[in-house]
Amino acid sequence: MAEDTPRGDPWASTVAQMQQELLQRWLKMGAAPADGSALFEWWPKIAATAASRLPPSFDQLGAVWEQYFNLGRAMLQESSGGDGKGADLASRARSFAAVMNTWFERLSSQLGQMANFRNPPDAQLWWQTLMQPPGARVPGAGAKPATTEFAALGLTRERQEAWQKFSRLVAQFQEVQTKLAAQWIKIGAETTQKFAARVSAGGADAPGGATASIKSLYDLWIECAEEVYGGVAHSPEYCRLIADLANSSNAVRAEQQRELESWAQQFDLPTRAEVNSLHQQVKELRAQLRSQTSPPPPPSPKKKRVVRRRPRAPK
Amino acid sequence: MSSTPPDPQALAAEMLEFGRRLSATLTGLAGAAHARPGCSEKKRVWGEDKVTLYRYEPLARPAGVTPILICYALVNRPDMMDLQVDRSLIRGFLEAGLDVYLIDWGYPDGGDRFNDLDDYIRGYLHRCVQHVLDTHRIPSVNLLGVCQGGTFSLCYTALYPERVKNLITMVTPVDFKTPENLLSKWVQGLDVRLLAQGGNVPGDCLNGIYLSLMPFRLTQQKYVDMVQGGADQRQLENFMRMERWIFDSPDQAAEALRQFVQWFYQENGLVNGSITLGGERVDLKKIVQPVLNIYAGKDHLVPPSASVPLARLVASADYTAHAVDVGHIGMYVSARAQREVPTKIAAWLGERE
Repeated sequence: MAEDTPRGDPWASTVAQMQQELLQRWLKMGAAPADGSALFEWWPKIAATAASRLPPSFDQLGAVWEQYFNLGRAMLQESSGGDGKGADLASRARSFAAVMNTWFERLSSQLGQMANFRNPPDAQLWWQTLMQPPGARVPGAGAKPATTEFAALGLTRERQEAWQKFSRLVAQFQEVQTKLAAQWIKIGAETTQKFAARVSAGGADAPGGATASIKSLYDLWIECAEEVYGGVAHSPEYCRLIADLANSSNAVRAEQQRELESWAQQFDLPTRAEVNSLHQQVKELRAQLRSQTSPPPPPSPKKKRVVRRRPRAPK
Repeated sequence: MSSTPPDPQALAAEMLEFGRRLSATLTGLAGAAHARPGCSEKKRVWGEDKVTLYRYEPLARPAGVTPILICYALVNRPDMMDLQVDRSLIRGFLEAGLDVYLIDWGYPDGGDRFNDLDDYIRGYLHRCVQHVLDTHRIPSVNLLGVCQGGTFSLCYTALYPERVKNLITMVTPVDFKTPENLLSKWVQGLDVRLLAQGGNVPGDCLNGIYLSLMPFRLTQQKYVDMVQGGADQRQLENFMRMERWIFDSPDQAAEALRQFVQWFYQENGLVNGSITLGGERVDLKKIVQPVLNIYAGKDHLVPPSASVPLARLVASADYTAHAVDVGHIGMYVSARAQREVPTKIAAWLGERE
């Protein structure tokens, strides 16, 4: 199979340069770093240097690795702080959990977007933009939202009712988002508790103990988070919320679509409904054509059922 | 409770190593961007609309077995069956002397939004089968259905049993309402009419949902493990191929997806016998030919409990279940599956020729 030719990436050369600088610094520091934080400086430096040239995925993955570095930094600080003995395990566990917990805010935001089938835009801004005559200035934030309850009467009745319906749907969508965020706060809190308990319960070999590695502590946190999340995600309440999020998002979108259809009609542009109608006609015509040229096979004649032997056991 | 804290020197060394690996990995990944899934030679032998039927070039002396037609899922691309030379179930089949056909459903667009399951199963799939039968002048083909494609294959075999010599289902959901099936629980309350009204469902939406099933492992830990794995260029290319495949998800034709969610997930139609295609009820008891059901023991997308019930739903006197101790993706690309699955299928088919 043909594959694309690798292309030069300016960011790759930046990384390589940074790596060289880092190695030089490490060589100067020798085997006993006096200031452990120096180990972590290069990453933010790369991020800051390259941010303007990097794709959006960098933000996402950069945050993952930065979190890992932050956990390492917390462990290093804990291990080299105070009287040399360091804090007790429970205290250390809480410290590590605090580092990892900041992650939840970011992840819950990402997952909200993932679960949202089709992100509705800012409802107020979208509506105002749509209502402006062509060429008019797009209104900014701060516009007053109109009431959804005032009775729709008179010449603008239809428009008002459509707007009110849209506003209600957006409010429903936001309400579900809020409920989902509350679930994520719960997941974050329970994960922190579980993680702290697992770290505290361990001895020197356990994650957080004397011989622990950053990776083992990190993996433990992931394990705790997945266990807690799994419990919540299977709950009827969470399942209902996920469905509600999709449904309310789709309802907002359907209303947006309806409004755009109306505008397209006013400008004598083809609407989705018209295109759909044509698609349906083409589909029906093709089916008719096929049935005339090569009729679909009739369902298989009923055969005498075979007497069944005992199925083999799974291996 | 007090304990000696971790050794600062060891921690510093670990971070130093992680930093080294991260730098090297990022540099290496930039050079691995060209990696694409797919490795075996194949040619297009039939097509209609966006659907293409491929036939793979042989790699070994023919085993004298009826050709095998692979029916993959609509979600994701069939490249996973032939990811790379050392991770390719299709290559395993070819090396065993099988004659392999593969259905590529393509990338549906707005013009396909009214395609329904009848179009896919009694339409495209049926005509692919017909092409193979005509080409080889045989009455029936060996059908291998994968994941959702396995569900389609079950429907097809139930409707046209005389056209399927042997049926193989791989990581195929049959009972869609088992306690372990998180995806099923999430879609029970989905308003499918509203979903379809919005047109085709973007592949990214489905990917987001799949990631949400295990978000910490799939969006976080995976990328730390990638760095920990080192910067071996070959490994990075493997990673990039997988990454490309995972996120290369076709949009889903609105009507077909609506029916699939409603009929299979919400109504559990294969178990309840409530599915009708072309006016004919899909009755799994009409499946009397040999059936090999291969499922993954650690599958979080299609839990074993969703596949195993097939045994009691078909009327085949020759039913074999085979569990592989891997996850859903591992069924296609793991070394274990690579060793077990093609050999198992080739031998099973050979015994029934």
